[in-house]
Amino acid sequence: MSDPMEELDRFGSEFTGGPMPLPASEIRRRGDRIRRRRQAVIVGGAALAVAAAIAVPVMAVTGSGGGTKVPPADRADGAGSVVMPYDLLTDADTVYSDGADWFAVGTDDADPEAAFHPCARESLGDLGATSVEHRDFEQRNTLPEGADIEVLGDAMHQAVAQFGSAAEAQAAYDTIVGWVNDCDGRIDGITTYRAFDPLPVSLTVDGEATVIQANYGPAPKELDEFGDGGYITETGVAVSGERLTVVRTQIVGQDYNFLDGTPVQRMLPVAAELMQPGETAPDATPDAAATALPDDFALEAGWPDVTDGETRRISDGALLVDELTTACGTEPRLGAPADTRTGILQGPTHYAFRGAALYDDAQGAADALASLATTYSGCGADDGALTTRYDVTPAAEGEGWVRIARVTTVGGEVLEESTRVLAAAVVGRALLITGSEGEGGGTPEANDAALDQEVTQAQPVLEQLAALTGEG
Amino acid sequence: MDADEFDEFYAASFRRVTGQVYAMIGDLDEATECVQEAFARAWAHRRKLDRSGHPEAWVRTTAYRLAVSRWRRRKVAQRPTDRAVGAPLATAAADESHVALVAALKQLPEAQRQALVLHHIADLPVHQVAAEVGVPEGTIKARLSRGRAALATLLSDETGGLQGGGVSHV
Repeated sequence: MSDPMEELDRFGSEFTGGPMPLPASEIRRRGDRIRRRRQAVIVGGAALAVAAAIAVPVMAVTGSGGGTKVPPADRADGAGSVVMPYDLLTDADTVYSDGADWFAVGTDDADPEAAFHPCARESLGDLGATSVEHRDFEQRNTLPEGADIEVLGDAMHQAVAQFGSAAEAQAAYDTIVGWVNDCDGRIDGITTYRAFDPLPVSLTVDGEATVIQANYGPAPKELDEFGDGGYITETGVAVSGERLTVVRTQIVGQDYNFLDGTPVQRMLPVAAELMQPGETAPDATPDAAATALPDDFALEAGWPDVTDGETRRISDGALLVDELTTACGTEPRLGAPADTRTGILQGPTHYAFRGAALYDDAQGAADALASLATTYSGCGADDGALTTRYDVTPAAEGEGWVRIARVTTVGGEVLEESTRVLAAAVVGRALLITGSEGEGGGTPEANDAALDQEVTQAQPVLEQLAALTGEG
Repeated sequence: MDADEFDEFYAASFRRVTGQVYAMIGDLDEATECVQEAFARAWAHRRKLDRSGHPEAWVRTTAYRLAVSRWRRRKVAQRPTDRAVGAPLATAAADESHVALVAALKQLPEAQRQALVLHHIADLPVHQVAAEVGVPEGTIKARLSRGRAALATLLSDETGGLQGGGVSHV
């Protein structure tokens, strides 16, 4: 027999494959189309008008005519009997993919007759809902270079409904799932409709949930210039007790495989948790103070000067950085801060980030910190050989840093690999997160040293936040 | 990375990456499609590609993940008709000795196969394999050791080994 290593090496040097199926220019053209779709929505009246015009043909087919009109719910009935805007997903809860995310553009309260899905044959009110909240989202590019790209019609819609009984909610769930699966020929202008096998969903609350992917078309030429795309949709339906939510996303384009679960698979458990009665009522009396981080807020304060080979960038936008927050496959729920800022410091052998968030009230910041700690406390991975966990040290009473450190073990022994740590603190209604990853270490001692450095270096930022929130 | 640089990158890397992904997943047509898709995404995300510092590794990783994802998805549902890049492919058959080697690789656990391909076919040093896979170097060394032993056994089971074209059981 031949040496298998030689065979592998020979394969590497001799394998040529067939001719390249597509020229580079075609690959770039396809890439440009992906880019246009991801950078779909720009801020501005004209763009929003186009998005609205696109959304109408799809949502207008909802069969909401007829049936019994349900009067607006009486909000004085008490917690749990009506749904509220805070029962819906917020920008902080939504996910899409790298370079794009969903952003709320409007909330429609207490209209059980409103359209909620193109395949719906009756309204939620007709199905027995006594109180409904809707929220529309648009997709935006989250990278700074995408501001000049045209709108292409991606959209997301969520409805949360309160029913008179759990049995009615369950019946509505079954009905809606049936409608989505059997929608062929029921949407105007659509000649092909194809629903796929349901995707599994793991709820953190009691109840039932499913995600149905459906592709259909054709999409109008103004949305699909090459004529080879279509509507790529996901519908997530979850029922828990007397409440039900429907989350639907629509992408105009071509099919994509999401490597860490589809967006609706990831959002639906959060939506189901949020709609629980009495779970998320915010403080109604926010602190009277600044609503934004000032322009001269120095998030980079305390970081060493940038040296050759390093880059540093400060930007508004997403509070969290994927590299440090998706280790568990679940993002912490950081609520809806009024303003955020993110900083990255990157060198050849290390990576550091900071995120600052200003909330409407102290409870918002405290809830976010608690979610961060809870997420990492429950995080762990075991691939059979390696076990990875995150050690979370709670903040001291009143004030202090939550310290989070990754520890990897093999057979119970700590493995020395890179050092990845995260620290977070609340001051007033502000949250500061700081984290780093560097070569070597990974031991508890190295983690402690890295955390000490993070906390020390971030102190000037914490002091700025204290002054801003009146806690200084 | 501008258009000319990308075209040069594509021309220089496409066949090599396709071969590597083929060795990892055992299906040349699927590998070709996924590498095409990965290159299209690379152009769409070229700033990210530039920042990565290792564009070929970025494409290879993306293509491999796409292939795994597509395979897993096919287990639960029929593929949608549309794809990001072109129609389904029918690539010319690979060399028979390569087919036999790939067939043997397919019998290895996914992690061992990936380590062997990246180290021996992509010619990456162990620390780069570890970085690309996202596990410590010690784990890669262990996977390589176990993979080599298993592959040797598998190939020795083949009648006449791989010489003379080997025996295909694909």
